Amino acid sequence: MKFAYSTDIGKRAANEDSLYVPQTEYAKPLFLVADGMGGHKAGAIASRLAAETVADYIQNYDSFDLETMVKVASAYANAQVYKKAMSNKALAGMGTTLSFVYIDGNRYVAANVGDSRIYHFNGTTLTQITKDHSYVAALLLAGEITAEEANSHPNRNLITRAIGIQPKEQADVFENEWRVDDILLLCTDGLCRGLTDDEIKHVLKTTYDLDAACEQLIHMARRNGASDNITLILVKNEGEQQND
Amino acid sequence: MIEAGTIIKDKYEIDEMLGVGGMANVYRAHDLNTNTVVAIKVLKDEYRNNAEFKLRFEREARAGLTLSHRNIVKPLDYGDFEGAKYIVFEYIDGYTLKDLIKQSAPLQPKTAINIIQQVLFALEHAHEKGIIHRDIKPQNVMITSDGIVKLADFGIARVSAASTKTFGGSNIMGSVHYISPEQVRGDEVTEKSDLYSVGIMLYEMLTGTVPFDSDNQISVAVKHLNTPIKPPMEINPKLSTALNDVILKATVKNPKFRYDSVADLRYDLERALREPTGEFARLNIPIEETQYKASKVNKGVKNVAIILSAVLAFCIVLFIIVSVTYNAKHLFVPNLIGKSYNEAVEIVGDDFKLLIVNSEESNEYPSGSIISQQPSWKTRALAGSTIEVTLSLDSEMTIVPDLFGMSLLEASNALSNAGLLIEKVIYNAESQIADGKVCDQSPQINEQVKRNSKVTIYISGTPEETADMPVVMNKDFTTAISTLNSFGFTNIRVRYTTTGNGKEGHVTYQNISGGLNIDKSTLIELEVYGNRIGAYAVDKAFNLSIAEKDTPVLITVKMSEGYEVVVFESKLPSGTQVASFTAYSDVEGVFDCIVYVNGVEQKKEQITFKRSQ
Repeated sequence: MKFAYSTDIGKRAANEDSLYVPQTEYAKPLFLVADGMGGHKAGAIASRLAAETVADYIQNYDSFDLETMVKVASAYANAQVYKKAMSNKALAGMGTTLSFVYIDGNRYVAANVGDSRIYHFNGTTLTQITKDHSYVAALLLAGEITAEEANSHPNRNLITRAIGIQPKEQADVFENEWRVDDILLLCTDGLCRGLTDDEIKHVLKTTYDLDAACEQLIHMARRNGASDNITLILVKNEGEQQND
Repeated sequence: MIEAGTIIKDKYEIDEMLGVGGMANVYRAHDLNTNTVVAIKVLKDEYRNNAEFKLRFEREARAGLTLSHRNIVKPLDYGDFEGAKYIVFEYIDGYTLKDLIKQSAPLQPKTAINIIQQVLFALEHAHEKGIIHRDIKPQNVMITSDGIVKLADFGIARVSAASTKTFGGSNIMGSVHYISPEQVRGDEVTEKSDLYSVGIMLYEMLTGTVPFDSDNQISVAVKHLNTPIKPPMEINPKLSTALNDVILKATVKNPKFRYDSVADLRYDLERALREPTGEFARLNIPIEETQYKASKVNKGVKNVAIILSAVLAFCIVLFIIVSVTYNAKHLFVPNLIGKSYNEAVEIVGDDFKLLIVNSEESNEYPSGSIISQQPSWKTRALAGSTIEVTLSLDSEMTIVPDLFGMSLLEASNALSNAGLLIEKVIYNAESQIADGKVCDQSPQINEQVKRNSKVTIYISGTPEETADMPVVMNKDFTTAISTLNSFGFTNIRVRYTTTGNGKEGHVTYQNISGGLNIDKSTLIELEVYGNRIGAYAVDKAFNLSIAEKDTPVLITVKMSEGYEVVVFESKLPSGTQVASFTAYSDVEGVFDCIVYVNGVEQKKEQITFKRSQ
């Protein structure tokens, strides 16, 4: 598989997003984005800690039960961030979203807490795999507001589940197959709130180079007025077998 | 958690913690000066680091200061304690409506209506001042031991609409059981939103249950939007039909069909007591039309227009256009990005209000133009509502901040942060707002002016004998003196020093800490870095008879701006001594020279500064 990633601070004072991609060819195929919250760099600390905890846990994990692996990794990340938030007044209330995917040949296991997203593009259809844990997502689901209204709702930044806020939390898990040439897009909400599904599809359809696609997506979101931190990862299925 | 005995702002001493709310911890404290008991709400740790949250919190706290009514818990003061924002309120000895409901609901109609009427009096006062409560719930309604109802926590719920990501439990959203459908949807909040919440409270008081409940906060919120309300009469058959109708009218989902104002609801409640079988409050509209789904209403209008035939269509379309625009109070927000502030004012005209919330230097946009707006272009907002904008500003200009409701010290700091100076302070004894707070300013908020321009501040009440000592450390000398003068301090003594490090002409020491509330006649001593060698000089000598050895002698020159500069300071031995010195000045002229022996003024002579060589 091939991948590309990018992170951009936008007009914010700090970049509180973190991401993880495999660093070497022996690293496990884990891709992760996290959007931190809490003032004065606490957000960056929370997202970084969650990302590292999940990466370490998965790197050292030894069984084939991927669903359990992913659940435990997220629960462990929650415990670590929660502990750290409790230990320091300056970090009180800090937390982070967490969206990650583990590739296993022709299938993948995805996990999510919060309102960062994972999409699956199969050449024609773009599907959001994860479910947002946000106030506006619940209103949207109930049919009370439109997606556009969700993007301008005064409480659009209210998330209902996060890593590091409650003593115990665990991610939602999703499993799927993916075929050659399918693309997975992981992104923090700075991107998906700034683009329509059609705009994302258009870029993924017409730009073959993943790095260029990343930049193009960010550029379009910014042009649409998005000013938040944006982090995204694109992973493409090239048909190779996963090495284990 | 703040310990008992802690002192806040040198004014309030914490006695004990009273409880924990959604966003704040509440303490009982007493005012050290007057000994009155107060309640202090301190924002919880989770919110101390959210800058935007804190800014909005402060704006709402200041708006609350304009409220003065026997049925409103009076906010007295607000501030920042070690990073945590707090508001000081009058202390209410009593219990909450929530306690009463838990204990005795369903209540007798007369009791319930009496309590609600007092809540409505409070709301009427606030709505007149343009303040919408937004978070009415039984926990916010206090009842004193005398039976007087007091409404608390105005406007705080607006603080939570932040653009930074936050985790939301019930604390942030306000209590979902009483929240209006328009607040759930994120549409414009009006006075009618408060009426809805009052309606739900009345429902609970008279039936013992809330109309919409679930184990999931969000489900409760959504129910306000899509679940029809069960008439309270079906739960408590003893309720009169009139009262039942009033509650239903107050809780209609579509604000258009609700009571128009507090006064209308109040009137009908009274009437319901007198005419229990009256049908004056009955809603004679089919249920579907009272639903609140903004987008669906528009679609319905479009479909009707298409279906009708050509001949009729013209007349009907005209009719629809007229009635839709007549009723529509939602307007499209214009695009203000890139426009100058003045252009934007023209563009919004009477449709919206503009408020500058931030300014930044920008490479893309010329100075004075708008770089972001909230709400954004292409959304709709209620006519008359406020569009918040961020301006790009070059470093020479600055924006006059909003000082309303601040104390003189806070206003001085706010102006200082904006790069502005105080011209003068004028007291206005007629002003209705709390004493000692800013009631007016010139120039007005949002004006773009050059840095170091001067602002005149109007303060409510009469000048007191005491004032808060400002911070003048590191300020240049002229600014320091004028700030101290404007606070009412004119007994100032200045020493020039060249020891250590410092910025030429800037204050390196002040004898009284900033923030302390002291008598205006207190002697303020400053040290300024520099050697005071000026273009004009005078040589002077005094013959003094000193009684004891080591008597301190201080000689100063009183300069025209109301301060004295120390020109000679020494301990002299006993006997007839000569104190001689050379004094310098930047201005020519005649000034008083004062000799203090042992701290007491002994001589005063005029000296003349002439050009030195």
